[in-house]
Amino acid sequence: MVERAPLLDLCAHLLLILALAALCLPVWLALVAASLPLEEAARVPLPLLPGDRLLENLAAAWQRAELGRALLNSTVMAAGIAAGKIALAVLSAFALVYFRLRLRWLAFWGIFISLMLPVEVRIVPTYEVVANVLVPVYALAGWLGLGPALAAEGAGGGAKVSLLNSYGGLIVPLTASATATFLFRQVFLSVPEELTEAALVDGCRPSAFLWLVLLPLSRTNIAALFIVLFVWSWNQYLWPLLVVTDPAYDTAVVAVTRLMPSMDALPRWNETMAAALLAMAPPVLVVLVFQRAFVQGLIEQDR
Amino acid sequence: MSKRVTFRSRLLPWFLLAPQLLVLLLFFFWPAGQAIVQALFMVEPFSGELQWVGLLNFEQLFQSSAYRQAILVTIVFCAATAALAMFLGLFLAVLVDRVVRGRTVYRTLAIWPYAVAPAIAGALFLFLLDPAMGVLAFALRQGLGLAWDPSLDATHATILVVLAAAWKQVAYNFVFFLAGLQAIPRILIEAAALDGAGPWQRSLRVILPLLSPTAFFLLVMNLVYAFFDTFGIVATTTEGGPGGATRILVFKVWEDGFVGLDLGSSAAQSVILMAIVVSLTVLQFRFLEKRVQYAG
Amino acid sequence: MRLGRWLFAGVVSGGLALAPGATARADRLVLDWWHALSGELGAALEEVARRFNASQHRFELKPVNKGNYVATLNAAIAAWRAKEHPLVLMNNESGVLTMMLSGAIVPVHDVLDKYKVEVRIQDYLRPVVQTYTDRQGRLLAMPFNSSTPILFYNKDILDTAGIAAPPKTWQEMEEQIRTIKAKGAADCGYSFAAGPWQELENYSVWHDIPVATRRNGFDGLDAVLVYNKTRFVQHIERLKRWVDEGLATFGAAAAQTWASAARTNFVEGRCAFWIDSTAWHSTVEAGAKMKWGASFLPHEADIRPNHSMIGGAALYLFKGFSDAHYEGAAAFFRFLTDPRVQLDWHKATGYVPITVAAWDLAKKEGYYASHATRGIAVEQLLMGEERENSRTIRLGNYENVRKALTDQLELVWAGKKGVKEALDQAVEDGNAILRRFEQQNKGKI
Repeated sequence: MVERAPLLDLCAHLLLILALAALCLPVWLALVAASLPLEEAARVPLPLLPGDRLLENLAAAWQRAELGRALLNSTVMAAGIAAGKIALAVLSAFALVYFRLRLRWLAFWGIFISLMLPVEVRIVPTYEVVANVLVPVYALAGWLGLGPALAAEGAGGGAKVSLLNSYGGLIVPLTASATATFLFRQVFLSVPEELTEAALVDGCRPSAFLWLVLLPLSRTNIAALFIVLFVWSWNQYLWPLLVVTDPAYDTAVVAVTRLMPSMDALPRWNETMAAALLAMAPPVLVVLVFQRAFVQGLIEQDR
Repeated sequence: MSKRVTFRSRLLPWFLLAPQLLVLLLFFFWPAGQAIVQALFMVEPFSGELQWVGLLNFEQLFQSSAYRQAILVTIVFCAATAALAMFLGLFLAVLVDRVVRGRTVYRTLAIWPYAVAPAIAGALFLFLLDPAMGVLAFALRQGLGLAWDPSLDATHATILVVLAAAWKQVAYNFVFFLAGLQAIPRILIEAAALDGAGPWQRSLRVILPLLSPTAFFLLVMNLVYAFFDTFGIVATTTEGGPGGATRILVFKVWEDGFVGLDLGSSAAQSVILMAIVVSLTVLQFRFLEKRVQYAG
Repeated sequence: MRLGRWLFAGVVSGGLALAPGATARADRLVLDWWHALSGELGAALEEVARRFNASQHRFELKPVNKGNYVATLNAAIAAWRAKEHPLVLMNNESGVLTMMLSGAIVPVHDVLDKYKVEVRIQDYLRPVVQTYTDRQGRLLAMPFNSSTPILFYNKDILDTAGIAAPPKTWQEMEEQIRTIKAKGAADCGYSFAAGPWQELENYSVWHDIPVATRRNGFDGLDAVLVYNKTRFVQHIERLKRWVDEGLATFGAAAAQTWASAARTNFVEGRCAFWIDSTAWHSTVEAGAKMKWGASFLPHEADIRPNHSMIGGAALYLFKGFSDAHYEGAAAFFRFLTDPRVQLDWHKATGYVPITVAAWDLAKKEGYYASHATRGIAVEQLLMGEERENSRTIRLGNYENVRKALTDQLELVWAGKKGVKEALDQAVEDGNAILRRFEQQNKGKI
């Protein structure tokens, strides 16, 4: 502190407490609603203190939204995307930094431009590719006049690889990451040249160098990034909504929205809020437990 | 830029790049190209049959009052969300930076909302602000005598989605502003204090200018967030209503494509969105360049 | 390795031998059915499938819920493109043109003819069947769940106000609400959501007023919306006046999320009147603490009403299956038209039965003695005769056309736009959507 100003400090504390209480209010009220029987949860105004029905409501929400399966799906998806993004990014960054590449600019810009193509801007065609991954192959074959038979087969519904309603469809299309690639590029660039020189002298193979030198060096970056990406992936909504039409692959976030008040029935806010709490608990816990790594990952991602 | 010392292999690096490039080609570039092509056609949803219409899809979009409204709504929504989230993030960061005791607790409490999915944030705020049920709605009615009704009042609906969107993003801004504040050399502040500048003056004259690169970076990030990541909030709360008052462009792309089954128009909207992201990215990139220069 | 495989085969066949039902099932031809009902309605649907499966041993009908109507249709479109579509698809009444022009379906009448399932239109509730017939009067899809809006009223409130019977006309309804307010029986008169289905489509069909030209689009894709020039304008003006005078309470918007408000306001006893689908019966029965009743839709005092129109969904058959599959579908449709099956469906869900025979059976068994209000919708559909504007509403991309209206109506309730101005805009936007659809599908019909 530059100077002592007890009054100012007190104000700061008060303001912080007020602001953070406001920030926590929505979740607190969700908790309250989730702990009340339906009649009380529907009362206006809602009581401000929780009741004793939390477990019952959590159980009911768990069953109605089939959250057991949904949470498992979300975990697989989030871990898969995070791991996939990191793996692809590490490999790409390694190639970009440690090799003399002809056409490197092409790879670099290709990856960079993907920043400009979030799924929302290519929503329908991406869906089509996921519905049949071979669509581009057929189309290219048709254009190039290579194998008209192949193109005809495509049009006639020949071979197909559909990723709809599968973990592959949830994960793979989201595994490209320009920001992660650039992050690892920065990390690798800061690794001392001497290490590489020594490795070359020892006749170290590139794969061994990546595995034994670079990965251990970037361990904390990987962990931090994994946490950020896990949270980001868990919270995806539009993409799972599109590629999943079979409730067996619903993610937790989508499952919660299925419990939102709707045309079908009178609202059961207590169960909806219980489901919301369950679906947000995993990423929130991850952030709380790995706070330091999370903050580091968040900030690094944008270097 | 690459290392002075490198491995020697022609094929291996391409092999390493292949997975990422393949994913990009299949799920990014091909669909983006398709979107541009389909924007020039009308598309039959079942057969995928294409009918050339040239720029008609674009023409009709800009003629449609609904689309023009969506553009306006998006601008207001993005600006309000970014402004609110950044202001609150800065506010919290300044306070946390100032206090000594309890800093870790405060920081934790400020960060966790970032982990809540936009769609779920929407559900939480809907519950708070539902005209019939919501606690806040009740408080507004009883306390301020305000007939709060986001199902009917465009302003109320906008406030609802902006609040939900900003709430989730405050944490992000907080993290960066706090990091920015803590990176300011103490000596600068102390020097200013020695020159007789009070806390207020120091904030204005010393701290804010030093934070401006962070703020600019965050502005771009917040705009991108408000533009693209908030689909879930609108989808779980207002569904674009009332009277289209919260129908942001991303929601409309989805709605026209998947509810209306008008794939040609949806593709044309995608192309327009693409143009917007490209300009946002260029903005960000120019800034990044500058920041790299700062860093030397 | 080999030993293991033998062991495995032995265990499996042993298991099958021990479970005779399982072997029988293995011989059955599976018929996939993608549907959009969840919760209790979904359970009732699955019960229908279970009973069909128990009624014969050649086919195994397999219902799969794919989310709401929008999600189900999108799933089906993607599946059709990937050639992984189901045999049976459930799609709602607003999508008839899309399905009809999709090139992906086998008209149901073809299948019914081929397998000698006789469908005599006069045996059915006409407005139900006509929603899904082509211009030659042949069935494109098998009607499945159908409902129609009726007037629900709060008997306690009416009693307190000293009103003996619910209103027959809109004019009477206004007087009654004024009485109710004057006597302090309730604050809220008419609880309404202003859904296009309730306020535009049923209002128009009920009074034989056009929504669009070309018999509401039935005769061609070049139909033009005209509801900004009909009595509907005065209807909305009246509702707006009611809102302004506190006689009516708007309780919902287009958004699903809010749509419960109008219903909740009625079910929780705050409002005297509410118009919505007869399929809400079980919700009202379960949730209402007051005495309530239901009646026919109110009509304009100077117009004799005809009949209302349905909402709901029908079952389409996709192309690309073997004859045996279609034979199975025909068997299922024959099963569906059985009066007993229809009556049980009617009782379980509140949807109307689709055949007159089922309606007669219900009356004969005295079902309406204990459930008087559940027959109102059926009577309301059986009334009147076929008229120019009462056949159906068959417009392209109709969900978007509806949305254009809801968007504008919301501005009316909020007081941001005049009624005429808003409806003109809604018609302009809706017509733009229709013209796009027409261009996209030109030459197809």
